[in-house]
Amino acid sequence: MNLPYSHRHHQDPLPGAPALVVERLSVVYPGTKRLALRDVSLIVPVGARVALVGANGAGKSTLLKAVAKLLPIRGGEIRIYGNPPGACHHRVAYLPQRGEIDWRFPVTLRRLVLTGRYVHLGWFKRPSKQDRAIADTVIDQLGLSDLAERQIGQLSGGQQQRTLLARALAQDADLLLLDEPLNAVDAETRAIIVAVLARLGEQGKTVIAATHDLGRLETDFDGALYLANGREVAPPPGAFTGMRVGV
Amino acid sequence: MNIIEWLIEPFRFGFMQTALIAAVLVGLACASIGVYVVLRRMAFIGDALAHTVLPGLVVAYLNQWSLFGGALIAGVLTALGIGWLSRRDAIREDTAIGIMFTGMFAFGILLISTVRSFRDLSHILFGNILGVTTDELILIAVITLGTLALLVLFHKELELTSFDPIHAEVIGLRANRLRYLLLVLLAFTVVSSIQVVGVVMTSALLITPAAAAALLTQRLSRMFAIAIGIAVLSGIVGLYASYYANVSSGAAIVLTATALFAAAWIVHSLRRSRQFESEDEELDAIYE
Repeated sequence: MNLPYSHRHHQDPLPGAPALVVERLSVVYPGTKRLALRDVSLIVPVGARVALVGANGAGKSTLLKAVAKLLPIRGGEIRIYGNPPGACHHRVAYLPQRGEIDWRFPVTLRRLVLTGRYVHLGWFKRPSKQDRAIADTVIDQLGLSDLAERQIGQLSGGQQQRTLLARALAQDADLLLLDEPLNAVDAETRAIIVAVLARLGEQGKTVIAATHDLGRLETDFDGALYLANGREVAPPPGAFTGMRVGV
Repeated sequence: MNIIEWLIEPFRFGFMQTALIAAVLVGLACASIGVYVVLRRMAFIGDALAHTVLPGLVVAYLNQWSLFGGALIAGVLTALGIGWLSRRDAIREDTAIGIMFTGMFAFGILLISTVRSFRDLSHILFGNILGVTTDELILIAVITLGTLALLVLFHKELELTSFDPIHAEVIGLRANRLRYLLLVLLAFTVVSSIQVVGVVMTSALLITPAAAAALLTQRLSRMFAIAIGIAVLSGIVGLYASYYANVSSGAAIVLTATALFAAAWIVHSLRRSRQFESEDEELDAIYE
């Protein structure tokens, strides 16, 4: 028997619908009045890898959080494979910024990655052998096998970032929302993460990643949306645009 | 008198047997839930709950209702009240707790002062494990087993929402509901612990064993085991102390736990300094 965490589980994608459609989205953080996101629109086809580019405070994280249903929507609409956010939790994976996790908590790297399987388990079910095998496979892919039994606080920043990406992969989602996956990581981590992004593209997964790094956009992404002060802005002269994702 | 006789001697009395069972049960419940209380930095809530049940106890006492029932109602109401007051950012959680905790405790003391004989109620403040009745023991057993069962049943969700509530929300698991569950379980556990060490010292049983365990291990399962071991051992040692040295049982239990925490802290410090030494040696080896 399966008791999912959310009742609105397993809605099939609408045929032909893009992975993500955002229409004139406005978001206000609870308890504040300032619009953190204003009239932003975006269409991401299935299988595309899109960068959200902008300085800190531009609204990149806000957009990802609204799509992950972590923030209420003030105006506009979000459709994920044609369905509203939260209609199908297992299909959307979200990689938070490192600071949003309590790294001192006594869990191992392996156990943290295993929590990526929880959305498929729901209440009361324990991870099966197969779930553990999936977790171990992605841990290996990200070059973390030797560290699997480490407490998560004893990993370096880059290792922590790879651990979070491993969890997002373990979820086996179709749409991956990555908040600054390449922020302040070492060269080894960067190379591994970029290789993973490339492989996700080959597998037909859709990736939306926030970044404030203008370098290498054209090799790692298919398209880019530029944000400043919560609005879409024109790309800086000569910057990568790729496929058209803004509306 | 040999050591075995010395150990068995106190438990020839029925009330001491009851006390032993109560101490073990309360130690089990407090230490297990205490692990979450410590890891989620809710120590202040445990203390507050212990104090806010006081008016419930006094009202129940004055009306000759069940003390357990009065305390439970006050405890659960406080737990839900704190959760509700601090659900938005207008009042921070620690502020909400500070206000409810002192207000309710003062109300309880005020009610006590209307009772002619304060002695009647002193066991509420300081606990009286030697006076636990069979009915109370059954209630303590039910609360302990229920608490343990729910902690096991919801373990993976409680663990996840403790270190990464955002991932929980993303997969449709409401972190706040787990927090309410924990607060209500905490209220039940606090009420049963009040029988053993009283209102004033209850938070010691919640926090001290778990905090000591956190110093000794970085595995959650081992942390539960060590915390339970410390709490149960403290209960037993405290009982012997109160029997042979004729001191307050609640205070003896809490002080034993405090001593075990001090021991854990020493072990932790020694390990740390040895770790630094070996790191120094490694560095020396590299430079040579």
